[in-house]
Amino acid sequence: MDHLELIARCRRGDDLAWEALVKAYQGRIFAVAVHYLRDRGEAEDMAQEIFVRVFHHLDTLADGRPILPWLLQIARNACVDRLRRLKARPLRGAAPTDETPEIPALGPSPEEDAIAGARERLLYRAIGTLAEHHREMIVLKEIQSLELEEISQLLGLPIGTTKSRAHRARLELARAVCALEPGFGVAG
Amino acid sequence: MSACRGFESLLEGWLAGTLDGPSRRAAEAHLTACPACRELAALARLPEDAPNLSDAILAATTGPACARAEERLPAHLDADGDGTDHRLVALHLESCPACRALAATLVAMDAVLPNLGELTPPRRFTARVLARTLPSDVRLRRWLRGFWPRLVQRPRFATELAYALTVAGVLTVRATSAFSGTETGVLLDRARAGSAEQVRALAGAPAVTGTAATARRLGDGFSGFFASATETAGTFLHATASSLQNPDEADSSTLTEETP
Repeated sequence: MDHLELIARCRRGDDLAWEALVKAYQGRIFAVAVHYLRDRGEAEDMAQEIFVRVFHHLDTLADGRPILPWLLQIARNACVDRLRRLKARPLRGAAPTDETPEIPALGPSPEEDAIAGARERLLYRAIGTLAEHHREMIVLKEIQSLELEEISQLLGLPIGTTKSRAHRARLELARAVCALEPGFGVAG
Repeated sequence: MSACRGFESLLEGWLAGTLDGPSRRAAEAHLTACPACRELAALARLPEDAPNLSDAILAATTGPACARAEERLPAHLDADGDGTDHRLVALHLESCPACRALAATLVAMDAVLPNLGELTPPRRFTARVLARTLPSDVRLRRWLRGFWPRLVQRPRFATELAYALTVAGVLTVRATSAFSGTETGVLLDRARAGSAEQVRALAGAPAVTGTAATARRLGDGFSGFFASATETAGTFLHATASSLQNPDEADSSTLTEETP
């Protein structure tokens, strides 16, 4: 179904359209929350909160604007706010310090249960070792496939800075993956 | 002398075998005629057992070029940027296994990362979102729509129904048996068999007075029962309303379909 049509119906108070919209985007929004917060329980609460915000701001989506960047912007802002509030109580697997990050060696964490595939889980772990701004770039560009211009607008950065940050983030992630699994590139 | 300069400018191409036909023939003609350039060409030829000196030379000068190559790898893989940069990185990758592995990892990552774009949310996620967003009248309508099926499908429904029927039966039997064997019972039997005038003629008789007292007693009993039932129903409705307002504490799967 056309998502712009869904939005129009939601604005008219069609609860079935709203339900369809939630179902269409809940996996993506939940994934964003998981990648930002690195905690399944927090991510679920956050994803619910994001949809509540979306519901109350449906009128702010400009006509004709694609819905995904708008949704991701709301999701990103909500997650960043949440992370700020949680600074005093860091989450497990949150932004790494200067020390070598600890990679859990045991079974999958609860949030990793949501991730199918060994290679995907390995990447998820590697993403957890990145600096916060690099992780954000990976989430937005490589995982959610936003264009550089969209990311640039979303983060309020010049396009050149966005591009170089995206390159550095990819490199940092590749190094982290090589450290975890040197044969990752070969086995692919 | 100028012919020698001309040969020197062709020397690298001649050694690499990349000269075009006329240039190659000119270079070879000059070599045949000039012993000094023949000697130069012999010196310039790479010996078969020439050691690879690039690592040692780089170590003594700029250091390994890996950092620069890594920096340009993403753009190289995206075929983005300067053509010369592209060729330089490709040349570096030919001789550097570490950077080759990093490049392979980048390529493999690009194939897997989009798979992380959507994760399956927990069960009831949709229901919880809807419970927090839809207007209360819509939620109540949805809740009521599923009330009877949910009630019937409860595991204890049969037990509860049997209990309710038993209570109703006991009350009915007690209500009718309250008069049996008494003067009032006889009076009632006569009233059932006779006409209204006959019953009215008995007004003021002790049996009628007793009947009225018994009816009042039963009425008080039923009033108490209904008051208690009303209070129970009120408590139930209050709890239901609270659960609608705070779905996290309630089984909100009743609001909509489950998310698989």
